[in-house]
Amino acid sequence: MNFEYIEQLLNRYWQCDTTLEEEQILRSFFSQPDIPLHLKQYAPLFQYQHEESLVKLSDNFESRVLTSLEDNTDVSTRKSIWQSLINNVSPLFKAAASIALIITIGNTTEHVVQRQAVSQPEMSNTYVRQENISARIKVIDESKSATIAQVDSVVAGQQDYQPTLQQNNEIIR
Amino acid sequence: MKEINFRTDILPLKDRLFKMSLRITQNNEEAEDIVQETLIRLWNERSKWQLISNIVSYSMTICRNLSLDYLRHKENQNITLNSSLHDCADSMPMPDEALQNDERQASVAKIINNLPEKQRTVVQLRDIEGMSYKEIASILEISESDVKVTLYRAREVLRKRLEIHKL
Repeated sequence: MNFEYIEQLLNRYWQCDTTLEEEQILRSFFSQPDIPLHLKQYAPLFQYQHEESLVKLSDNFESRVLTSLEDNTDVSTRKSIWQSLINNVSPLFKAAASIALIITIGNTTEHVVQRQAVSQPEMSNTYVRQENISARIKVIDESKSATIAQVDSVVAGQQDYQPTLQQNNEIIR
Repeated sequence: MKEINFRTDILPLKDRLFKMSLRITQNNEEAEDIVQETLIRLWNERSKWQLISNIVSYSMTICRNLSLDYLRHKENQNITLNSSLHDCADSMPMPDEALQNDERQASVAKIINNLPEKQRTVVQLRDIEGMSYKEIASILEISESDVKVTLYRAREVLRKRLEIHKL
């Protein structure tokens, strides 16, 4: 075996100048039993590299992953059903929320207007009373003028009687 | 572009994902859980597969990021990593060549596992998985020259330790 070549490869290995194939040659070289003494110190590194490349997961790992993937798919399918349901129903919720908002605003406005009306009752009462009084004054005035008219008519009636009396006196004569 | 199939293109990556996650987390159970989570994520993203240029690098990047999340979570909880996996090796007796060999490899494992995360991941991907600098750069989302510098530093540590201790 040409050790010079291995030594050269090894030097290039430490400098990170070896190719993947050359690194494989080093691993193969160090896996054999007869390694010269001056290179023996490096053997465990390349032997360890080979041993570690053989590490594997437990045998049932693949089936466990596939089962969990099925479960995961079920979960995501269930999730998507819920999602679509929420998406379909959400416009209704939005509409209901809008209506509730409008009703609330309406009620609040009405309440505020009522409160404003209640805060001025005396003014309006006075106004009503004033109206009543003026109406009564009007009535009194009317009845007054009616009375005057009646008196006038009575006086006029008396005056009407006088010609009648005069006529009667003339007849008697 | 070739259509990606979960069973033939993604699922066979499981061991490679596991080994990388194990290198980062140094915890068997966690690494297994992380690989499972990676595969579930990839499955849930199946509508995007056709847009991914390299599904291997993409899968490895997801797995690495999940492994790094685990590391950060551990650091936040102030729990030290199980780097003592092979601590007992130094004090073990050496009855024969085979056991001695195992112990030497355990010492190498210890050196690699004590490297900073980026360095040990690059070592894992290059020296154990046999990936190109381009692929590693894509997985770690860094430049190829950055990968080479990182690998050089890691190999330098390994070389010095091997030469000093003559394992």
